[in-house]
Amino acid sequence: MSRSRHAPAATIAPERVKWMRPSAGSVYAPRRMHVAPRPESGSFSVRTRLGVLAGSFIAVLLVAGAVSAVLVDRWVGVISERGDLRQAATDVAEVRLALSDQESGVRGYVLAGEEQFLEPFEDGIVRERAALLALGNRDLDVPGLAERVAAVEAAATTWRLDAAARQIEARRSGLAVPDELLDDGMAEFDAVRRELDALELVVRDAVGEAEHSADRLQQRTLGVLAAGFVLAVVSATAVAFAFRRWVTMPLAAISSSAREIARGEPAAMPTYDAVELDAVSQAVDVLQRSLSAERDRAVQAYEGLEQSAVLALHVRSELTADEHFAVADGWTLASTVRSAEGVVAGDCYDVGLVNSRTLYLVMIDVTGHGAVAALNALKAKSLLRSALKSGMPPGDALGWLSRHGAEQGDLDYLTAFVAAIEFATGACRYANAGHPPALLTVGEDDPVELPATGPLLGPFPASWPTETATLPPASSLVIYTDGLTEALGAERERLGEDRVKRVLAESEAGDAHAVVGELTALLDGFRVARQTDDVSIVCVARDASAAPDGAASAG
Amino acid sequence: MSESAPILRIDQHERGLRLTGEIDASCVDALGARLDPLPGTGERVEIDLAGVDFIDSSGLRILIDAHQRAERAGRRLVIVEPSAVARRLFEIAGVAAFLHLEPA
Repeated sequence: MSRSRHAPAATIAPERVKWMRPSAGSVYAPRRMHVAPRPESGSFSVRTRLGVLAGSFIAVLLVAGAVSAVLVDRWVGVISERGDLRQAATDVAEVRLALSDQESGVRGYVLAGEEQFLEPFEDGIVRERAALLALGNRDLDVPGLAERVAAVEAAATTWRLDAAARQIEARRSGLAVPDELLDDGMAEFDAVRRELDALELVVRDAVGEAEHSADRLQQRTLGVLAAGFVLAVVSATAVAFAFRRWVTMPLAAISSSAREIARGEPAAMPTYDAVELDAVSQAVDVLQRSLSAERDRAVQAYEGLEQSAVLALHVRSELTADEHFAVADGWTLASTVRSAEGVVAGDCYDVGLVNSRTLYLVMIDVTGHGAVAALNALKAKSLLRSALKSGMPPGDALGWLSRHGAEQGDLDYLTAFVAAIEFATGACRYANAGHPPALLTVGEDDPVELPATGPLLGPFPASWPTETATLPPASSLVIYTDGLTEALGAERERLGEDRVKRVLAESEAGDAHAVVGELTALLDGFRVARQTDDVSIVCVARDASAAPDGAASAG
Repeated sequence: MSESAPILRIDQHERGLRLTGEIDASCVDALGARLDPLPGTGERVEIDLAGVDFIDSSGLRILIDAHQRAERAGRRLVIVEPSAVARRLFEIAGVAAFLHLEPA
């Protein structure tokens, strides 16, 4: 029934946890850097800012595009008008050529008198009319053009009727054409030329105006397009700059701070006007504080562990009995301790010899947990052992412990079961200070409880009478701590006293190892939850062979 | 009782507290905070344990501490209608005669 004494997980190398330690003088309380006082109102989110910027950018592009479109449209219109005017100039030239041919034809006929010279005249009339018709159909918006065309037509008609027709008629009659008539014809054709010159001037001016206007519009359109391009470049640069200033740089600052935090250095988190960035910064700051607090707790825990681990392990090994003794023939002792997870709980027991004829047995459960509770249990065990070895009855030993604790003022609340058993007779004197009842099982009978003979030790001044019981052959006495009966099962039910009693009634009472084995199996089969309390079980048993009054020896 | 539900419910009334559920190490800090300082102002402080399904030694310790504080303050902490499991613990711990139980 020896408990394993090798040291469990106590060897946390200090260098492995050094990163947790604050360097000397380092400030663990992080602070937020107040780069700028945070305005309560009037601060805009990054989303709003970038939205406004992008909206402005798009608006500028739309306006530039619209202006360009209007200008291009007008430019196209002017180009088309210029083309029409150039055609009109061609028409005017054709009229001039046609009239010139008519005049040449008439002059040739007057000189030669041959009809073939009249062909250019006839042809010229047709071409002149076609050209004038084309000119009239051009639908040109040129002031005075129609009047000038009409004037040319009128002058040409006058020349044909007054001069050309009369000269032709005179020549056909065989007479020489009079000089006056020839002079009049020349004068009238000069009038036609003047009208033609005037028409040509009007058209040429209009063409020049259209070309000038087209050039101007071309320049304006190109200017607007260039300005739009420059504006787009400037706006894109402004957006990029703002994005860098409002998003990229703050994020870089935050991530840099986060890296500092990751290295374990406190970082001052900046504040921002923009709500999203400030939220991120605040979140990192909260994380930092939480990490800092966790780290401080880890450091404290480590230091606490460092200071108490060795002691606690020592205490743990001391909590169980010093078992280097032999019991009398026919008697067996067995025990088990299941330690709670992660804590040094306050269970402790001791079994030993008062003298060669008498066995003493102590089971203590301190209500607290941790090294202090364990030390209290150890101290109580030591005091009770001394009292029992001096021959003090169990009840008196408890009273002595209670008075000692009251005088010292350091006795924690604890429950204790104390017994002294004579090997020879099986006579058992016991006292129970608020401890779960010990269970005495004889043969195949149901277990009998050895209940409290006084309150738990600590809070109340009291006395603990010593009671008596007997362990006949084929009997066992089981003492346990409440960690056994309070173990949690799958349905959150407790293991309870009844299950323990049933197992005891069915197990072989005379064999302590069998009894402890059965109870351990019961506990392991029942419990599903994490073990939060120590479970200690001690059993002393007398087998069936032992004579009721046989001499016992202990070595 | 589901795993996520609080295992102990603490209701305060004008004369003291009514406890329902399980009192173990996981909730004794919360219970201790409600008992220190003692609830109410009257001479009598009632702790109703009728609805307690389970109580362990850590819960017992909290009740005894409150009892002791009441005694020192000249008040009387009365445990009203302890459930069978609570009464059984008081008997096992031998403190039934020291605490004020009603009915006795």
